[in-house]
Amino acid sequence: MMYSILENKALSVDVYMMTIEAPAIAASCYPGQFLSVLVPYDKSLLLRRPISICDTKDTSVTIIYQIKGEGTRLISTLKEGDRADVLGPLGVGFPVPENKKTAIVGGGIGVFPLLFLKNRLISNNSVDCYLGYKNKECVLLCDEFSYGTSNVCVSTDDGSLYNCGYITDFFEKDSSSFDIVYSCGPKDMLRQVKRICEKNDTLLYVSLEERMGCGIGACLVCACKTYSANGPGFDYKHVCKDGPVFDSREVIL
Amino acid sequence: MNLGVKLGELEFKNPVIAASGTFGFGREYEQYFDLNILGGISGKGITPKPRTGNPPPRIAETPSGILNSVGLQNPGLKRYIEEELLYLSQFDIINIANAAADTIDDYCMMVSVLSQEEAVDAIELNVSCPNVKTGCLAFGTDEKELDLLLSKVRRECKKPLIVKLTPNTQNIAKMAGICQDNGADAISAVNTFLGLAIDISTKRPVLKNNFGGLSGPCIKPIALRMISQIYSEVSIPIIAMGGISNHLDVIEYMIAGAALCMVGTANMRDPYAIPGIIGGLSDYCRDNKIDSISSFTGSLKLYQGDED
Repeated sequence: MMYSILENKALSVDVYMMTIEAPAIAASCYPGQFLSVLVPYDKSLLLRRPISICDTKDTSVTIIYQIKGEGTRLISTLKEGDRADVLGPLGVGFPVPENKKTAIVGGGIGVFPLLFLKNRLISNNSVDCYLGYKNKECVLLCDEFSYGTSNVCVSTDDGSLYNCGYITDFFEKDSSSFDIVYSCGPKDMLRQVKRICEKNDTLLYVSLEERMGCGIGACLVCACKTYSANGPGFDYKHVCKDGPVFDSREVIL
Repeated sequence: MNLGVKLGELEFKNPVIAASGTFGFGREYEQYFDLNILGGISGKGITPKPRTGNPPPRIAETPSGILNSVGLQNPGLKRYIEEELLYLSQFDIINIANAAADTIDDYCMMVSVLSQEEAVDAIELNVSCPNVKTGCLAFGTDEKELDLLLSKVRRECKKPLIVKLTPNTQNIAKMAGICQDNGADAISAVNTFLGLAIDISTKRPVLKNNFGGLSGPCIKPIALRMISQIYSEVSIPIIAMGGISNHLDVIEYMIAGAALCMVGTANMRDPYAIPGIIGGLSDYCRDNKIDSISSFTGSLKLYQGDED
């Protein structure tokens, strides 16, 4: 479906924020879901690019994406008033409970979809945020996380801004006090968060990524390893349809 | 203006079939369009036992194409019959069961069991998937193996038998001839071409399985040439596939010799691809006063010498 672009602006050298007018998506989507965006101007780039929804407002939906290659670069050239060919909302997102003590742990561009989650969680839960970035050039959006939350802890791996070190080390110090933890970021980071939550026997939801094809669950390419439902061994579920959000106990990271 | 196509006793309402592997069993596309508009569906390839498939990444984008190495992840014959067939039987479309196996005995078992199912209209024998390490590749690329396999399968198969050929072979027309000699009711061609994509920053293949199957618009010229060669060799009907993205591609394949077409990779880019193609065929035939779309089949006039 074609949607009007309200805004498509650079947040940094390689990160863009696009807002589209999409009342039906805005009304039905929930945190953790994604949109599948067709690459404009170049039909030889066949596949849609899956981008997490980062926020909604009334009738508009916002996505934030990093320029990774030619496809995302072409998407970044779309202007206000142009139309974007978008499928969505797709996938299974984060469950939003009530009256829980929650923590959000985000790494790098994994922070963006967690903003939408934070905005929904704060209505009825306490939310502590842990945001980690590689260096100060990568730091984005952490101010938005302050609104409505109990505490925001930000770190850069190299200490160029805010706290110095891996965000998971800071999270680990406080980790025993949460009912539910939500995480999105590089796989190594998710492994650490999973280890920490297992230690504390805390419920953890992770958002995963995998190269996609159709994005709607039919072609089976975006496989992610999960523990087998019956017996030992493993199975493959699919990030676009069974995820991107999974209960961490299900997935083999 | 008639889009209908007959293949033996099977009556397709139009020549467009959803290709195996790209369309699941249809469920995921139901929210995008009424599945009853399809001429037919070839479901995900089924194996005797469930298969988990290959480790990811299973897909790489290439210029006007994709490489895939799904590795035949599928629910297995038992669950296909108990769950998927029931779901598919509600639609007024030709339901083709795509079957793959490791050994001749297993192929025969699959075909024998599927022949008992009323909801199966035809069986497409997958002898061509390049992603399976054990045996599947051998049949479709080896004349003797294919001949032996088909001679046994034909006896067990009580449904129309379609053989899906791999293009990763020296002489696909010859393979088609072997299918005809063994009583196949139709050929479907082509499956994917074996390909490679490399991540230059890691010096590793993009696919965890290293090689994968290439599909999409980039293969159309080669697939089209193969269809033309197969058409010169056999008289049984051909179901063509290979990079079809619009109704003009369907007509091109039909002119080359196809009775029907399958559309696969195009669905991955646009879930509305097939309805667009069917609508396009309808408009084209109406605008060009084509009475019956079947009249396109095999109408290609190859140049013989110096004539105009």
